[in-house]
Amino acid sequence: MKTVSHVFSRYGILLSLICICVVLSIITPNFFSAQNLLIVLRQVSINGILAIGVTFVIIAGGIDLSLGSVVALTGVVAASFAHPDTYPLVIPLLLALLTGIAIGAINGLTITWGRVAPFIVTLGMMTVARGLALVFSNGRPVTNLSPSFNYIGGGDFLHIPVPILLFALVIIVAIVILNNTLIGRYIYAVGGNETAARASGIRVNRVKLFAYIICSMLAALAGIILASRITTGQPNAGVAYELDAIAAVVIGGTSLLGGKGSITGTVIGVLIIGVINNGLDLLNVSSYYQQIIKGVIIIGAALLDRKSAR
Amino acid sequence: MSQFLFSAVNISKSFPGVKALDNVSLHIEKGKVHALMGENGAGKSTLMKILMGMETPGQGTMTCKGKPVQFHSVHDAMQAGFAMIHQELLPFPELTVAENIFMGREPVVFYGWINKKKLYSDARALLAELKLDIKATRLMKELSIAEMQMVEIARAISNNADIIIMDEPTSAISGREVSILFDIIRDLTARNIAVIYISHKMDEILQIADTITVMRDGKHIVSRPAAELDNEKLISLIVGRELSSVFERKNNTPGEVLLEVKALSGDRFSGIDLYARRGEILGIAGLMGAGRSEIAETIFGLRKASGGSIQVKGKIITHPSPYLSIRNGIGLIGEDRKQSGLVLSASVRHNITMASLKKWSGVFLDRAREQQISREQIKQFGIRTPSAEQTVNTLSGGNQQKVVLSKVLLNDPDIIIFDEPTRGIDIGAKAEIYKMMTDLAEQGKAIIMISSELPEILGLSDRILVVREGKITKELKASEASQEIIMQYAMIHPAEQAIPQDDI
Repeated sequence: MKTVSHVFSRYGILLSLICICVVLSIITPNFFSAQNLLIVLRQVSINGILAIGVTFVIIAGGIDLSLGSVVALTGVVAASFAHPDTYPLVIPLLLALLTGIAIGAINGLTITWGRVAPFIVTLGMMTVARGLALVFSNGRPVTNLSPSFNYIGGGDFLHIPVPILLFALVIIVAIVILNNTLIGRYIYAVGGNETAARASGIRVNRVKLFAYIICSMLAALAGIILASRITTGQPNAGVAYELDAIAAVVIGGTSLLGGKGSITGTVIGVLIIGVINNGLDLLNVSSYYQQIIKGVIIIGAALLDRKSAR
Repeated sequence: MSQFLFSAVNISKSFPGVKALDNVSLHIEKGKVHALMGENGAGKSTLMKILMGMETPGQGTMTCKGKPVQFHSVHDAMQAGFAMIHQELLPFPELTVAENIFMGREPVVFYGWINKKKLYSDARALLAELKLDIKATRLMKELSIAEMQMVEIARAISNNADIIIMDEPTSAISGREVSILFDIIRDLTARNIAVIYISHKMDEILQIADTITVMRDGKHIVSRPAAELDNEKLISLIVGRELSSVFERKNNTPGEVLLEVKALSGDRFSGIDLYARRGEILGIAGLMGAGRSEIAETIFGLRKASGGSIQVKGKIITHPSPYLSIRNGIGLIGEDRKQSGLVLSASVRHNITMASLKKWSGVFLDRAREQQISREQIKQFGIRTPSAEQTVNTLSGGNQQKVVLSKVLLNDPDIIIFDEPTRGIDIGAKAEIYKMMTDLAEQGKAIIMISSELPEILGLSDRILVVREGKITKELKASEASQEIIMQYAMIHPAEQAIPQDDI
């Protein structure tokens, strides 16, 4: 059982998602088809994985602005070790994930033991990681990748695109962590009241560090999927991805002040953004207008959330 | 009817599931102090919200200066002459005293162009008129809480308020400041301003109030001249039952030393030596700001020590942290439950189990067990809440405090530090907390109680330490302590006590 307002706000965004889908099904004949829905899901899976990662950080009372750059860096790292007939597939994947973990650890340690504001640390990391991606690739896209690597972003498993399966797996694991584990509960406590959490014997720094590491590790997973899907390690990829991810989290009803929020909310937020993008594409709306419409919807959703929270 | 400055008659107000006010009437006279008393949840806050236009009454009428009034907003209430000094002050910290006083009503030359000269001269004139010794150019954040209150009062006066509501004005200020506040209140009443004074503190109310209204469970119980009432009558009216004795103290023989602190120094205190024994309640008395909470928080590891040693059950703790303290069997019920005790946005269940989850959960939570434990705790501590899933910020102060107690005691600590355990909670809940402390001492726990309320210190402690300006000035046995002796060591510089010594 959740509080009434909680149910109401979650119900509210779910309702918005359904409304948008109904409207799009009516005005565009191609929207409501299994094929198009799979396209939508595959499109949102990268933003979805990033949004789930940053949900951990935001519930713990922080923010992560370095996600887009981490996507580029880890994509380049993975691609560099994924040329045909060089290393086994596990090497590029592992190296990319370790890069993500390392960046999350640096973010987390600077924020906790260094006591620097998360906004500043991750803003700095945003340019550092971007720079590293350019240095590592000499500023050129890394191409010629092995078919097994390209399967991750482009392949199907049981007729379902692999990115969608990975997204689903991430959703399930994230829900279990936040709802059913000790560390999940501690994340809510730390974001809700850091002093009280500390006084309750919770080692706040470790909890925050965990959240930042999870977040960057998921960014690395997104980086692998992206590099694999465009069959290139692109050092300029992922610009402003963090903003789409944070927008999805906010639309999903997670408070930027910390302590409140859910993975289901974030997933609905991701789907709302994805469905709108897809619908506007189907309607041949110019991408310039798409940006305006998306922004208005983000603000509108936050407004709706405020109203229903009262 | 017209003899009253303001009347509220038969006010009722319901919220979903609760009748917060049931036919309550209140009559305010010019130039008098009208005290409002009652346990938390008695309906005082709801009534004040209605008077300040923050809630509309479900039923009832209000008359101000002979005319019927309806308040739909705080603005309406202020127009009618109401002003409220909130318990938690909300000033603009980065602005000056003058800017705070005239916030929203600054004297302007052109639109938007503030006449600073007039702003400061008006503020100075007002402060002088009220005999307040505060510079108009000081920044609000530099003031003490008592001074901020005075600025708020000045602001109310400048706004032509003739009914000033004070909500627990003395909850965060000490003895001398209280007497200054009372002088100001007397000055206000001499100007025909009416004061509605909300407080839990009997002695203050009996000292300052002309009329006392008692509320209980949303109902008006009695309004009587203060002269006809005394402590015992008030207590029985507030709780609706005779309290035979609030304090029940059995004499225990103290056992082994569980906590020993030597030469501990830190933020705002130095050279603290103290010990706590099994089965004993150690009272720590002193004025607010004397460094008592800082000592407790340093022992618990919430603050860093700059020197000295802490020994728990014979083991020296080199790097104290709350995590280690809890593992070593120390529990702290902090002074400010909203700041350091509770996650206000979380449920009662999450708060209760927050500190002890680890004891009975692995990586994965045992949710069934958690639910069972929180239900048992709610029952055992008598926490009044619709369910374990209720967010904790909707509970009353006393019930919130019980949630904190339950959270800390679930870890079964041997050394329990209570810092102002009864601040801002009603008498009924206070008595329950006193009983809990004596029971815990009897079970062989070492209890340390920090309190500003001397009756509490005298009624419960076996041993008393008096702290003044960050140092222990006296250790007293319960039998040799009295309010006068404690206050002497809490307030007066040692050099001025009894025999004058050479000043250094």
